[in-house]
Amino acid sequence: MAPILEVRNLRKEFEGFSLKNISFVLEKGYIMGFIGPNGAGKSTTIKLIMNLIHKDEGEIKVFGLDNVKYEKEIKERIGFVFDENYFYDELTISEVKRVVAPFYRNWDDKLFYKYIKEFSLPLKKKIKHLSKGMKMKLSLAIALSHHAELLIMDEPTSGLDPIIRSELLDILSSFIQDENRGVFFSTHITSDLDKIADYITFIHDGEIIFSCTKDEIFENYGLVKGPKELLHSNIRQLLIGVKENQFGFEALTKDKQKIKRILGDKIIVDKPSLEDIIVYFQRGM
Amino acid sequence: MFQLILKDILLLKKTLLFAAIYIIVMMIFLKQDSAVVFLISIIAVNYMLILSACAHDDKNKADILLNSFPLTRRTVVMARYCSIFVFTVIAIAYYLVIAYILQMINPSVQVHSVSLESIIVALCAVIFINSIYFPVLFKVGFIHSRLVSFALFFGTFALVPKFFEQANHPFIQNVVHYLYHLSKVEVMVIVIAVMILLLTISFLLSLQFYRKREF
Repeated sequence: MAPILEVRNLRKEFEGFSLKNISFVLEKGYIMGFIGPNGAGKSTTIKLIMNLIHKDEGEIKVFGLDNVKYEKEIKERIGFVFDENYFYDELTISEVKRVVAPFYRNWDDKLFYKYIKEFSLPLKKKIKHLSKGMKMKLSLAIALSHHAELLIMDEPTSGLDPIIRSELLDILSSFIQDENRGVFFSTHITSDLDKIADYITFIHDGEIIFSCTKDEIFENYGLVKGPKELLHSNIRQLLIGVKENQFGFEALTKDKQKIKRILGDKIIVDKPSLEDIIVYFQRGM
Repeated sequence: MFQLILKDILLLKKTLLFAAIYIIVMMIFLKQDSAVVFLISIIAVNYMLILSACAHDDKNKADILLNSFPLTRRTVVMARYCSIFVFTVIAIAYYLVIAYILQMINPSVQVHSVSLESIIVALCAVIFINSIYFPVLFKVGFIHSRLVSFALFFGTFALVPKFFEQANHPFIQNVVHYLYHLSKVEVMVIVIAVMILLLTISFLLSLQFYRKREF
């Protein structure tokens, strides 16, 4: 069975930034968090998947189909939520629905009104008068009302309060109950992913640092603390983003078992958060 | 594609109202030559509606939105070209309704009775303006193409009288002489064929440019 999203050796050159041979795979039934600092290439990757910008090299397959050749068919089955509101400010929710619904063969009016009711969205209100949370919910209602199989979201939680963020996470959890679906979700609010993501893909400066299950990350990565005397060159090689102070050092390691074997009780190894991983990588670059 | 034109009309509610007021003002204050008033009204309303629709698209980053829906870039470009005709029909309908109402209220207002010829002339003018403007719009986007649309609109008004001044030019004389010997139907067929050719070339160029654009 073909993965729901497959990116292979994707390259895109811009002036001053490039996406360097990135690859990752999302299987059906899972949520993948796409993390990285601002300017790492998250939005560029999403725009490439949506064919809003053109790749230089590589392959993008959605539902096993080439994303350019089968663009229309693929987009029928994708629901998208972008970080800014991209609906027309001057239109009401009803008008947006009137324009958008006929674009999709599988549009389900009943489902749309169910979400409108569930999200308490005012049909007669213009988009420009909606709060940021409401705009995100409208994008989500539209994305879910045409029976999308893959949700692609670019920073959907940025600028939202914790209550709405938590509601969004609940909706995603119920969306993914159907095992034929998938969610690809870019964010820099990593605490959201700690809760719901199955896979994490970490991009830094246009390169994929890792793309694996969340459990694998927490099994292998560790936050190491210890005295400075231990920082010999062979140990430093195992560490990322070493921070030294007068009491000792703190760093991230990709292989906590190995460092434990070498240094034993002389160090403390804690479980890092996804945020720690981003911060230490950023510091180490 | 119909949905994209519907979207424009929903967005242009205020501009449509303004366009009606514009035609009323034109009819009342420029009564001396009503055939010209008709032509100016149609071109101006078309210009106003096209430009406002493009401005709304630009403000709302519509290129990202529309190209994320299951639409091809061809459909997006095609809808923009179809809107030329939809907006011209709206402008003509406005003109006819307003002229009718004005004459009912005040029969002394001189109103041009719209003929098929004047509709074809108006249509040729809007096709000409937009066929040049759209490839630029699709190549560089709304912000960078505004100057071109402005120059085309006002240039058309400035150049038409110049054109008539040059009526004795041998080339124009030759063309007039040639057309003079043709029947009315033949002239119309030639004009329509030239407009279709212009639209087709313009559309293919726009499509080529828009397919290469990145958002």
